[in-house]
Amino acid sequence: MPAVIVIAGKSLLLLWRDRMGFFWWMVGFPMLIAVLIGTIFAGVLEGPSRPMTVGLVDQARSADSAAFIEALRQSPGLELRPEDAASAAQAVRTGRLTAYLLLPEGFRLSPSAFWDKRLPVAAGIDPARRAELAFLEAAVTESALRMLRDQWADPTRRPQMIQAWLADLAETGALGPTARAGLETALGAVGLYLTPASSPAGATAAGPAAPLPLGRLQTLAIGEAVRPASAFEVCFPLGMIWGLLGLAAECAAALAKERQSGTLLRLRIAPVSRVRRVAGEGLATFLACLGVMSLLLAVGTVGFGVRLASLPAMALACLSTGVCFVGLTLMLSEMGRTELAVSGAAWAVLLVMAMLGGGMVPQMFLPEWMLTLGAISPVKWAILGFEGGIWRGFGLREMLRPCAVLAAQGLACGLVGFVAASRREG
Amino acid sequence: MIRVSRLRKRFGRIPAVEDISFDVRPGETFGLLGPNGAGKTTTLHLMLGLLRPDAGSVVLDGGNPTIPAVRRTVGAAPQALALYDDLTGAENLAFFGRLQGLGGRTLRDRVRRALDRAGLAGRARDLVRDYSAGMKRRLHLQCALIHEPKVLFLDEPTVAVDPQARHHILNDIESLKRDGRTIVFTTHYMEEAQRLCDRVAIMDQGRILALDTVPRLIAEHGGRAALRIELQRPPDDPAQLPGRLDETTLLMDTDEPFEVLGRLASSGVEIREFYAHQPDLEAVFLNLTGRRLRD
Repeated sequence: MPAVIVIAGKSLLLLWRDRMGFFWWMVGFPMLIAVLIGTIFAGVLEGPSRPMTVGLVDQARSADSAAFIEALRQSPGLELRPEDAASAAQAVRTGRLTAYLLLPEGFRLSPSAFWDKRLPVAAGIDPARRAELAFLEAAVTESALRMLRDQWADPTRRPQMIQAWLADLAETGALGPTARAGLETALGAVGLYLTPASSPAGATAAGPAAPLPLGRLQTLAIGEAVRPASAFEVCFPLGMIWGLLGLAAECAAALAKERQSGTLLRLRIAPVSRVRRVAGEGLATFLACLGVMSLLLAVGTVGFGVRLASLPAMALACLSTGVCFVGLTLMLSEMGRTELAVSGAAWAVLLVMAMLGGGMVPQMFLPEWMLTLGAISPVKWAILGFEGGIWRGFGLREMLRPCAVLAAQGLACGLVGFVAASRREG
Repeated sequence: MIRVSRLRKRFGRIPAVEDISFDVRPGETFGLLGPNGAGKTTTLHLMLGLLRPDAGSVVLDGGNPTIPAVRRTVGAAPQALALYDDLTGAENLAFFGRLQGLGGRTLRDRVRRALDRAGLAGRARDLVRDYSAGMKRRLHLQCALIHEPKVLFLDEPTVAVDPQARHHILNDIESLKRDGRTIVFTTHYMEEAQRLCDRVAIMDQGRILALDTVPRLIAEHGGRAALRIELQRPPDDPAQLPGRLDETTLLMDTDEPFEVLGRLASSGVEIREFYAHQPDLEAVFLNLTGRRLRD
């Protein structure tokens, strides 16, 4: 039997004998990660996104405020929950609500609100949540415009709107004298035109309805496969990564243990070259990597509905990730003298890699700078490869980049480890 | 069988082996005796090709010890236990056997015989982690012998074992010696060297201080026997006695302790008891270095 196979068999048997460690670090813990994170992000990733729940404090309690609330309710992105001011503020402070809207006493909406850029609505929200504030502003603006459009469409209310607008213009200093005079003249003319007495006979007096000023984006079909069917399709790749991290740490520590005990000396005395000895250990790590990935993938597929968009792409991702983690293991095993030192150093390096590469939270939630820096982490490329095979629907051509990076990183790390081992052995 | 020529090795500024040369003959049991840090293990590693010498050479069975074909003729039991705790005794033996190219029925037979020799036939399927220290040492030795090498290197084979296991291991080595195997072993126990070795190289601070058979080393460097005689009563004329008299105890160093005793008895001196301490390798080391082996 070739020495490479003999050594690989021995290492796999030793790994198997430590069943508690194997199942916890390489199967149990990664599965827990996949299931827990999958459950946490299930609401975010599965189906259409949920509307933002917002508290609503109506201090005006007028026909105008009621009409505005009705317009707000038509916004698909908002779910309104009536509150009083104190409880709404408390709910936002304690995180039960993202924000609340307050319609103050005397609330009245006229087109002039858009002139001085201040809607008569206040929002209670954590100032750091800028994206949510921008979304709220857009939703409130859309609702205000919708309400004004509906009022304009009613010929009996149109003159009142013009009067209110003119009255607001008289109060506001937002326009210069020339612009203001011009607008007052124009609105006055529209008002005269639209009064029932001056309407031409037979005219409906409804006039043209104002178009909805807020434009809708046309949505383009980008295919079903670019979206994960469930959170587990995103989180099982994470679980697989954690399985591989555990395996790399375990194998690196086992190599250090071999060095520390006399077994490495006995291996070195045997008629087996260093290259074949390292190849044997590498083969064991590679096969164990494939085993861990296959096992977790099988559990994800059978138990959690994870689909494989492309089997060849997934196989390519698994093979290149295996190569990468073999190299990584060889390098990590040289990061300390003792088993304990190697184990500690390996976890320190692997955790940083996991953090940068999106192994702790899905990449889609990482800030831009971390995504950029994460390019140095094999974890990023491994996850991209797994996602390419699972739900991104990558073709083999698209898989080439992550797989080539993984293989190159593995070879580089392996070379560093091999050179360090050669120097140590003298 | 083995030729070591002008071997030199330094670790940084520390000299580990300084210009040593010796030959080991086929079938000989050759001992490297010295205190901890004398350079014995480094010498052994240089002979096995595990370390690259700064100068000098080692020729083992006509070749360089780094060549796989040469290594096949060598078995070694390092000082640290070279066993996998999570494999059984039989699995350890089979693994090291396969590495030496054994397989099939030959391997199975060798494993069975090795387990018998180690007295572990009944524990073959137990994990090594459950063995006692002595059992591990015995298995450790058998792993080095699984491929029946021509030359056996043993680095402190009886370190950290109980007296019973030590006795077992020394018997094993004596049996191998009887089979005509070439054995090189390091020890800091002079009794082991004295019992097992055909020739001994006494090492200290990376140098060989003396190399010869045990009797010749003792004769040349051991000094005289120390004789202590307890007399029944003080002699009438103490001046006629050899040595130094302290009340009824007579002390002397002599090359012929038993001849001295005979002469005293025939001259009418009544001897109650006597102690004759023959020089040994400890005395050789003391005389060569001014220190004891275990200092």
